[in-house]
Amino acid sequence: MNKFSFSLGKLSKGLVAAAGGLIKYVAVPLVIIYGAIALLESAGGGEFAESLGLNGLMTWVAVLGIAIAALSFFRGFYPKGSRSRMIFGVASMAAAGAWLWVLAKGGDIALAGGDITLGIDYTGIVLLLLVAVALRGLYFVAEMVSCRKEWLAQLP
Amino acid sequence: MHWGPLALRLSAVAVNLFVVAILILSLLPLATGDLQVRAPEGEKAATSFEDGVLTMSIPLEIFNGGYFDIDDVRVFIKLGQDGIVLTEAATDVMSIQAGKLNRLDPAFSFDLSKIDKEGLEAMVFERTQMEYDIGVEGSYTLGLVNADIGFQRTMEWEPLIDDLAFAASDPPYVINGTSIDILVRYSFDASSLLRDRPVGMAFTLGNDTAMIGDGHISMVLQDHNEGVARITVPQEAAASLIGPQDLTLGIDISVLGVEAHLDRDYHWEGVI
Repeated sequence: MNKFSFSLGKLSKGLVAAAGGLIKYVAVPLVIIYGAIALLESAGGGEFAESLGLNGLMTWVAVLGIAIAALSFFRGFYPKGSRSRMIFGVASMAAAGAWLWVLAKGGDIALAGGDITLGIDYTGIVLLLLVAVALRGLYFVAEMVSCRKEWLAQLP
Repeated sequence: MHWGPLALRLSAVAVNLFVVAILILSLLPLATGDLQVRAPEGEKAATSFEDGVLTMSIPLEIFNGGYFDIDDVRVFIKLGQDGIVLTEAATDVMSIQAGKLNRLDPAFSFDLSKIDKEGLEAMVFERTQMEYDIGVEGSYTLGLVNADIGFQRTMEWEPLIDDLAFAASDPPYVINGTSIDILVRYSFDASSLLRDRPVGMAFTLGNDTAMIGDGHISMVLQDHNEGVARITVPQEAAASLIGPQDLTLGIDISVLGVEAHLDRDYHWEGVI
């Protein structure tokens, strides 16, 4: 049987995983970014919002977030122990890593407003978060290895 | 139980929790005003000037009520005019320890002897608008966050030599054997940095074609200084001084290792 066969998966689990991905990687970040833009503009820091490129960031976060949600659908759709779940799980975490890097602006932001400039380099924090994402990716590999026998046993 | 996947999942959660915890512990003190900077009561910035180096020391008390030290703190200052950097200085690396009141004495040393001629003239003689480009950098949160902030201000520069004025003395010249000594009355105010310091002033006098005379004075500077400088014009050049004309008076001032030059127009009424 093809390991990507739709007959192997469960639609409801895929939809739940996709919905979780949409909330975590699209809805919540967009609300936070939108709130940050509104907060900066109301505090007279419109220049800072512009130099951060927050409007462009919203587009990128939405595009990558939807891609993660799509990959999460298939990761949830396929059962534990299957290679297809592992592949989509690792792919979704790779996309999550790219999403995080874009959202965090590569861990280095430079703000300019009037005669003041502010540069913050938080690459260390972003790398720690990427380590967490990588561990999540490894989790799907370990899960496949660990649940493989159980899944193979229940195949017809 | 699938211990391997569980361990990886818990590890990922632990890393995320660690990041969240250090972010909260880092940002909370800043948001609640637990980082305070103030000047110690009764203490002022100290300024000194030695060997062409202008040093400013500013006493500061910084209370870091946060949980993390602020390390590798340095402050940079660039002094410029019309977009050109004249001189710059940086403090030593400082550390602001967490949970205590830190006493800092950042000192900036500007080596004026390395400034180009025109820039130095402006700093020594002119009350001018100077551009201050100030930057502060440091690392926080166990070195995971590095930040730098910079701001620019335009402020008035107090010259070292101010209100420099020259006028013909009375009498404007004396015959000295075969040469003519032109007597020039000078007056100027000196910055308090220069008080009681020895200064040498060399004068040259020139017309459109050549340098025709020179002179030199030495003095110990006071807040206000005035006197008469004697510029000797030798016999071979004295004939050129018969008629009225505009001359150029060149002044070279040398104080504490800094040398600056200034040219002034000097109207000569002629030999009567």
